[in-house]
Amino acid sequence: MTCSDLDPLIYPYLDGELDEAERGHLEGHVAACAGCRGRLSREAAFQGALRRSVQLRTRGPAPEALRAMLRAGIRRENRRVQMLSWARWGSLALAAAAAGVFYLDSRPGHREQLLEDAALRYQRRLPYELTTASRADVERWFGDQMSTRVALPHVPGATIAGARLSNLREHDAAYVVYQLPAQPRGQDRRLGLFVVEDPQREIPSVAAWPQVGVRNVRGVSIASWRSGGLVYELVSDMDEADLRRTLREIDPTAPPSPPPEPVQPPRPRPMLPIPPRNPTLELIPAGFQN
Amino acid sequence: MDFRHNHRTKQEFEGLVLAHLDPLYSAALRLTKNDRDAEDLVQDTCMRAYRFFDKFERGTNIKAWLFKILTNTFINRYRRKVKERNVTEGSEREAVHEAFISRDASDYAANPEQYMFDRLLSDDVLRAIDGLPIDFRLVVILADLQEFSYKEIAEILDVPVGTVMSRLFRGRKALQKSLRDYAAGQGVVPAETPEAPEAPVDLGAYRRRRTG
Repeated sequence: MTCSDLDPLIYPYLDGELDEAERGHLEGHVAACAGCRGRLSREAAFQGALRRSVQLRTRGPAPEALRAMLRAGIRRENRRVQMLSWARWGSLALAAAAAGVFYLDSRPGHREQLLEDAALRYQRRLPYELTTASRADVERWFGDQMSTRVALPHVPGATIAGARLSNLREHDAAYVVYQLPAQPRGQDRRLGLFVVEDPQREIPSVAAWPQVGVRNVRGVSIASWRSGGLVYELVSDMDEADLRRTLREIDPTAPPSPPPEPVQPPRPRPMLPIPPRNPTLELIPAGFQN
Repeated sequence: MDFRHNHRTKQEFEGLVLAHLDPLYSAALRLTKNDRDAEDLVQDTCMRAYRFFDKFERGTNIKAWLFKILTNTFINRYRRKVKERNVTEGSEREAVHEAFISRDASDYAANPEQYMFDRLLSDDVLRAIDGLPIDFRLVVILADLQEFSYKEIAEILDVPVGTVMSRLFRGRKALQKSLRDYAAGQGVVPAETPEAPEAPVDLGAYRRRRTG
């Protein structure tokens, strides 16, 4: 072995990847060569510092909340799988019918997960990727990121605090936060709106606007409706009565607010079926307890 | 098909995956650079792992399998988002950091570089790692944070072992350079220090020479 052989061997040696003969050659050479000994000890010092730092600072227990959430999610899925299995293992004719029933029964579990994700992400206040007060700007930005054109509702009196891409379980979602004027009681007046692409209507039990389902999940209220291939989940800290009041004022198909600068090109109208302004809102009572 | 077998397998999933949650989370943290995205990444990883658990072969390395899903998920899903956010946070790099190492070095004259590496602050090392291009960052995280073997890393990243070695070599050299540049900027080591040759890492060629 020569000094020029050291380079390809030095990391495999320190990483414990050399076989015994190779290790012997390297150690034999290094024992006799002061130059290579210096290089080896520099690299060993570097690797020691590297591993110490990255392990000390990064290794550690995962957050307990994450562990608990995963455990709950896995158990819920297991129960669902078990139900489906029982359905499959009934008599053939029964199985066909039962599977359908179980399948329908199981979907609210999935729905519940989406709503939990929405509640968690709303509460966590993730940083925005886009901050602008203009609804048109946010819609355009989402348009660049998602395959479906996202139309955002106009919320009277509210300003847009920011937007980011998000997801509810496996569904990509546009997320935008509206800020309402503060209340005398000082309560949080934030509306978090997730817009989920669902062209195949895989997300169950969401009715088309103006039918809006309101549910309570993890201490927040979530109003849900569908419009075209999009599902809207509006999350808020308001109590249900306040949320209902706000919902009555929302116009999901209002034209985009005028852009702040006059140089904006004209925008096409949102690609959504247009229900009448201020439709009679039907609020569906809470479907499940959380 | 025995559904009980499948069911038992899904039951096994909880124990198997939660046993590796800490390393998965710490790798996610180093990849995404913040705890919120790290939690999301781990959640997505576990979801995918659950879905594909049937494809997992019993007796094979579950930790490597989980890390494969984690890195794939990160590359496909989070990379763009994290990158976008970094653009906005770029100015933070301009911030001046605390003293790099203390200046009262009496013994560093003999081997300033080794002394520097011995005294590296973990903040500086982490910053240097976070600044690596993604391909290098991945191998450094897998090798130096998780201490996976070259063979496992090759399996996780789906690249030949030779590629793992050369990325690790170049990644670590890039780390050294960035730490050395930083130290030089602080006047701790001379700006001109001997640099290792940029020769390609080819353990295979060495082995062929030896046996041939």
